Amino acid sequence: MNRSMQWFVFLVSELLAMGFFLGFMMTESTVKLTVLVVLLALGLFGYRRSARLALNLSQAFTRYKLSSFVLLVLFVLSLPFFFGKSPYLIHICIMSCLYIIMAIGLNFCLGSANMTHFATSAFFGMGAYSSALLSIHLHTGFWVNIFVASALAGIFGALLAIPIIKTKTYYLALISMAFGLIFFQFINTVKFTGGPAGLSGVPRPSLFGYDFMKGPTVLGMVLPFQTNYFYIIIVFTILISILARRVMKSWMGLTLNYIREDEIATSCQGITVSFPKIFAFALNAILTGFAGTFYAHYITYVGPPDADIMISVVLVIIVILGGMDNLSGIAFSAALLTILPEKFRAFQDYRLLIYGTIVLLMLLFRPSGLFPKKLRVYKKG
Amino acid sequence: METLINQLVNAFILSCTYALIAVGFSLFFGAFNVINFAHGDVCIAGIFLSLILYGLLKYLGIFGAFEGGLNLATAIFGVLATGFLGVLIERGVIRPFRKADILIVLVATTALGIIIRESIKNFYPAGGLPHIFPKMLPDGAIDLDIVLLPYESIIIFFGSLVLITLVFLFINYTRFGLAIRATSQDREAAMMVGMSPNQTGAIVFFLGSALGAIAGIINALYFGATRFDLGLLFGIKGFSVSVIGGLGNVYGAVIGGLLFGFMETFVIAFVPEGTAWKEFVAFFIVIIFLIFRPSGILGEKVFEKV
Repeated sequence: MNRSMQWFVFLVSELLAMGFFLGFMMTESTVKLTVLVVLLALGLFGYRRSARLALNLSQAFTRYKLSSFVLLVLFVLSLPFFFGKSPYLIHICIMSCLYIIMAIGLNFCLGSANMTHFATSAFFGMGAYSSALLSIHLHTGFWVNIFVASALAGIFGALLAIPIIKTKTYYLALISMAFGLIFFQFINTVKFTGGPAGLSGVPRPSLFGYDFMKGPTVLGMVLPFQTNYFYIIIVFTILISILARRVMKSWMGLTLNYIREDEIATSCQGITVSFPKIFAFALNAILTGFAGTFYAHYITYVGPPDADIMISVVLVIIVILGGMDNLSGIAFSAALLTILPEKFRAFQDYRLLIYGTIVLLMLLFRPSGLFPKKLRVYKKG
Repeated sequence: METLINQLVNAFILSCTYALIAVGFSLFFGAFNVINFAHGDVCIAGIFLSLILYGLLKYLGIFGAFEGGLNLATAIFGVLATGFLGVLIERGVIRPFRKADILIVLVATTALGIIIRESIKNFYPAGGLPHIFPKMLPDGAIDLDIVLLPYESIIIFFGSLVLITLVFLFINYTRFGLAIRATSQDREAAMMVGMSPNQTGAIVFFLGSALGAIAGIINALYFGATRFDLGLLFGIKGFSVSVIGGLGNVYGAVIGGLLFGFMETFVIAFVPEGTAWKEFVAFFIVIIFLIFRPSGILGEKVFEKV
């Protein structure tokens, strides 16, 4: 394919994806939504079946990497103007971003190093509860908490990792699940976390006297107050994705991949196995704790359901579905699995049932996920 | 004295429940090297399967003079149906992944557990609410001067004792038990001498799931009620018990069950506000075991080979 052709392919496919997203978000009728989902499934199926299509697309996007990224960012930043009428849609976008951040975090353990752990809920709860407690007792604001509470969650994660990394596979899953359940039981029982009632009154953020409860007015259009949070979380999501990509491309990411392939061979090469694992857990906990902090300040309430073990299971499902160690695939599946149940409110009760079925079918027929990781390429050639 | 004996009875019944679930885990692990994370939910499925038959019989108005006996029949139906559910699970979810990565099996069985749990919640009438489990065993109690022992507890206790003994006899003295033991020692060698891994798998999963269903029904009988989401805790505790006892070792499962059951009852009885903390202590013990003795009480130390 020549250059102009590639440019055409890239532009059309990106615009098509954006139009699809907008249409999906703005449609209300279940029938139309179902048609759109079927279209999406067909598109994905075609992408997976036709090697030429996939190759052409990936080549086009590799060549126009920067343009596609800029276009995507511009599109995402303009989303509130499309959704201005409905705060709920912006809320869904914020939740998708939180899940994307958590999934990127989990990917360091599950995707890069094959450590399936179910402690995500504990990390999330740690971030949410510590920021709530900090702001209630020490009156620290959002901007302090976002670093302090994430750091606390990171320390918690690193300490947790020390016993956890002594175990593997099933035992690792069991021990992390035990930790998750202990954490849940703990915040449900002790007094200072408010027990089953949770903690309310987590303050909303403020910045140089700017009121986050008031929606911004842009070009005479009054946007809902969620827009403020939306822009903050978009900035953080972009920063975190760039950071995650850097880490994955660094020697740390390579070491984690090496550990995944063969742990004994790794240590025989004289590479420390324990430090990268602890690092992965700490990074995972920091990112998940960050999501928890943001969530606490956004909802202004934290409760035991925020540390429910099902969060961990859903996150594992997201990473497996997206394709292990493939950031864009994971981001896609995180957004998909957050948006789908919100759009199909009629099937809300069946959310987990559908997740479980999708994952089981996926593992039976396509165990590498929607978008499997490509091989590492260090030099173009 | 009276509370002490009551607590002892409680502890024994709890231990039996845990041991029965853990035996399932050990059987699966021994035969296939898999941990079935859906096992807890399978146990709960047993309870609800027998509740379905119970509701059906009640709807048809078959109950009359022998209500207790028929209730017992529904329980037996639930156990057998769960056994067949186990066979189906082995065929549909475990067998396709026999050569797959451990991670895949782990996630697949977790997903299966979610599917079973959510199916009960969504498709059983009012599945999200706690359900009363009908009485099956005769009322009344033996008066031992110092303490009143209900028949129910006695029957449950001796019933599970007999059951566990039968499992031991089955594994140690029958041809099928021999196949299970051989497969767990070396699957390929067992295949070479003509033991079909598929047949062994079906037997193991039937046995394990049926035992799990019995454990679930004992639990439901004892507490008089059940809920759809008990499965998660059942599964994790059963797995913990078999890890503590030594994974793959059926005797270890019983020892671990006793340890777990007694410890939990002890915490409930003697620690203030113990009910809230029992899970805490239980999982703490598991974590300690996993860190310092991951092979469990009776397990052999496994060295990793390249």
